[in-house]
Amino acid sequence: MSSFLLQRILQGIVIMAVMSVIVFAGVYAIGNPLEVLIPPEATQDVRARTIARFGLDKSLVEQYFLFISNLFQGDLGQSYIYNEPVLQLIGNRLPATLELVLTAVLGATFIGVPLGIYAGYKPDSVTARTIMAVSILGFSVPTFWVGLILILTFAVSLGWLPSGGRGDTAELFGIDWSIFTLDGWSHLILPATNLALFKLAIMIRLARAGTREVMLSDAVKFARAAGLSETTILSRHVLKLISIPIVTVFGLELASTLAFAVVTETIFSWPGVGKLIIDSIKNLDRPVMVAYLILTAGLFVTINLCVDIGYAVLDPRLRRGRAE
Amino acid sequence: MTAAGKPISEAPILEVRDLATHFFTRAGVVKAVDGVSFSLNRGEIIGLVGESGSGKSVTGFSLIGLVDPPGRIVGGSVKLEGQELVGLNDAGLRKVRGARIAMVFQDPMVTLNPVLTIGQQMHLALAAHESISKRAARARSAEALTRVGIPDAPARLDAYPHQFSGGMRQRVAIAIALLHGTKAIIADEPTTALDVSIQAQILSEMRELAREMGTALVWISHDLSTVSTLASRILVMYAGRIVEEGPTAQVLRSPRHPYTAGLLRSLPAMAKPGTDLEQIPGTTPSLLDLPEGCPFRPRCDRASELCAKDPPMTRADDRGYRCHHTLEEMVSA
Amino acid sequence: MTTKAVSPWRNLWIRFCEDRIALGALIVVAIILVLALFAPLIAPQDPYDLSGLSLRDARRPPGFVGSGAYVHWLGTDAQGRDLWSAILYGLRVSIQIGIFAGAVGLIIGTTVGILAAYHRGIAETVLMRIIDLQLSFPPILLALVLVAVLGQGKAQLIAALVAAQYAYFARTAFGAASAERSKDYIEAAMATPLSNMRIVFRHILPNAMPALIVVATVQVAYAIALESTLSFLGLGLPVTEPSLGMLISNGVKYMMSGRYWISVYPGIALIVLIVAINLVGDHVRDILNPRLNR
Repeated sequence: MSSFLLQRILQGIVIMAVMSVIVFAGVYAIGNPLEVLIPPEATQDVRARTIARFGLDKSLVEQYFLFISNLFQGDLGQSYIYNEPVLQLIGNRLPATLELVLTAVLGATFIGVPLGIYAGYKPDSVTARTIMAVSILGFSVPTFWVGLILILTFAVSLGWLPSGGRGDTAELFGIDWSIFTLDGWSHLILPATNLALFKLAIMIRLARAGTREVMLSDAVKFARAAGLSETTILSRHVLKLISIPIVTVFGLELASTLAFAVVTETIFSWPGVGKLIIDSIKNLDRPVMVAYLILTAGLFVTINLCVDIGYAVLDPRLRRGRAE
Repeated sequence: MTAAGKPISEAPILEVRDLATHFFTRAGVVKAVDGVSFSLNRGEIIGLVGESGSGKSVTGFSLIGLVDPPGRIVGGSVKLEGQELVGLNDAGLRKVRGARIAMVFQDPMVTLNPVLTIGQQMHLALAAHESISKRAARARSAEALTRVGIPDAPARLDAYPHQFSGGMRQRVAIAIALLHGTKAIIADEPTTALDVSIQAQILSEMRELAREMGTALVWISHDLSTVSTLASRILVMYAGRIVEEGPTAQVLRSPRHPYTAGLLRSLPAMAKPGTDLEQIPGTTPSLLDLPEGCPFRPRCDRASELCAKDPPMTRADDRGYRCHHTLEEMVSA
Repeated sequence: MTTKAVSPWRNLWIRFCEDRIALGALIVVAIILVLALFAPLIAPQDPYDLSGLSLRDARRPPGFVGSGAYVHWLGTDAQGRDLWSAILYGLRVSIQIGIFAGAVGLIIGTTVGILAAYHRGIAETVLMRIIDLQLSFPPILLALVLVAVLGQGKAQLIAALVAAQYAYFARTAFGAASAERSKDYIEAAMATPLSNMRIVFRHILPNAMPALIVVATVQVAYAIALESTLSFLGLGLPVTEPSLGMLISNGVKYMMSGRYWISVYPGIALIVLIVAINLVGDHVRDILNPRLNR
């Protein structure tokens, strides 16, 4: 168990190192930031000073090592555009994104898994077919389009909910959260729904596929032969069996939803990191892009590690047997 | 306690009449079980023998009303202690299953849920039929495990199936089947997937248990020799029907159906040392495409024009067979 | 339960037709393909020809008869384009990109997957590690960064989509090929002097094909969705050849003021296309799943 974990942590470190090189090399291949940084009418002197200030006169390799050594000191550089430390820039917006993403993924899981189990349990019923049709819609329809329709329906036509922004926030641990105020929730609900719909479809499919297979297994047949009720079989046997892939996907989706938040945040003007990254891509704000990508990769690695640990907790076969 | 084989005056515990289970597949209707009848007395062990695809497992599952779609019981009757099970609703069947009739499956590696402890699974099986505290459930479960020969049972309750060997897992499954003092157990090839040495152990233990607890057994197997050491009666199944039945010793000594005779001749123990093992020519027919008349006709060396007509079940002195050209006396080796 | 030897493709087709929804979806896909293919003949207006547009016709509701003296059944956009024509041409662009990205992804991914399965050893480990790493990375992010790196344009966009998607093909091809590879007959074939290429094309590829086709349909739909998302975010194709995503994006600012049609109709076209492709792929997947066949 501990050697397994150690191996996973080492693997994570290697992945991070590789990612940092790829991201750095990739992002620095983009355009020439001088066009953004220096007004065309600037003097030679200003140009030279700006270049030196951002370290742009050094070679790419030197810039990389400078970046890495700064990274370990908690310094991810300064944004070209905002003239603010990148870490602070991202840190200020991260809570908004995290609360959006967590609400969406948790909601999708707690609604999607029961629906999926039902659809897998009675695959030929009308309800199951309806659930699957909805899931195909959720899977197919692009997030941005769903967002637009949500705004058009609930904000423009019905006027029930606000179309954007974060609303009132309440402070906890020195960070502002929308989930602690009613107004915050009214702002959160549309973007969270928007973001959750795709995840909901995935969770439904996953739970359905798992349930269908497990229902045909001898373990379920044996439980039936022992006289267990269908409810008990579903809630104890099936749920436990399918929870392993669900936890895996939950982790992966949590990470990928962070990325998908880019679209939702743009549509709903949610002040999170997603909007920041879109703006920085458009403005060639390299330090922000690099920091965002490396932080995202770090989150990925961390979440994957947690998933591996979750695996071992859920699947006794991966634990060390006591007696064999 | 009743000894197996002794004639019993009580009503049979399980009475099956003309049971028919068909599968409605894309390619056509498969008559997996087509008119099976037998009865099982208290404490009796009967052996249901046939090749794979003969319908013996489906018969077993039909008895407890667990036929997966597209299969369906289309006719006949299964009476458990006088209660009709065919046509009973799900709730009614659920009350019966595990409590009054239980089943043990073929492959112990897949019958237990790998992510629940043995204790949890036994608790669920107990709670399915009675309200029971966790503590009481543990005590009962440990007792049941001890009975099937699992050492250190109270501690093993917290183990997961993968921590048991195949033989031990099958013992756990048997313990679950016996939890409610069930009077009838259907054993669907429970030793086939195990090592030969463990097979023998489990066989003798099952016989002991059945005798001690007065449990009747339907032992389903493709292996005539296994069944012959265990069962007092043998039913031979071919293409969804029982083609021969009778007391074990008699069927083995003088089979009346050519198929039974063929099965016997292909047993290594029956062959003369140094001679080739005999085989039944041909293969089990597809149930979708059965020949007209006697289904065994294409493989039978005694077949005649007469066999184009379906042979009826003939019953005489405690034996039964479905054949136009019965073997009166097998030329003994 | 043996059936007569029907060719597997024919069998697939027969079983496919049994599901009416899937068959309907396939017909919808076919109709859309025909519409897109013959767009220049069907569309009343060439939406790329800016000289043919009149601002007097801009933002007119559905049913309006404009200066071209024909009915704008779906209304007009902010430049005075006939939306029906714009949608037909937009479908063309979207489908082109989807199919191109899907096909290139299929070829590259399959090659990588089969190479990994075929060579085993270090090549397998390294390639599959990269693939798995990529699979855990959200395609949209990868596409965003690549579009930013490569710049805007059709080829760049397709390259970004392929890079974001090929890993799915590689995983599928790898799975199918390594399952095939471990079978005795391939081992036997490899022991004979048959060329490797022949083994791959004769034995491995045909067996991996059904699974790859399912992935391909889904990925074409996904590429179309991804392209429209990128266009919506303003990182897609240049404005001169608007795809469906860009048409939607252009209409958003008028949505709040009640001129819904500029965004909504292209959106409906996009969704019908993607949903139909996914329904087809979904049903084929169900048919091909051996674990659910009885």
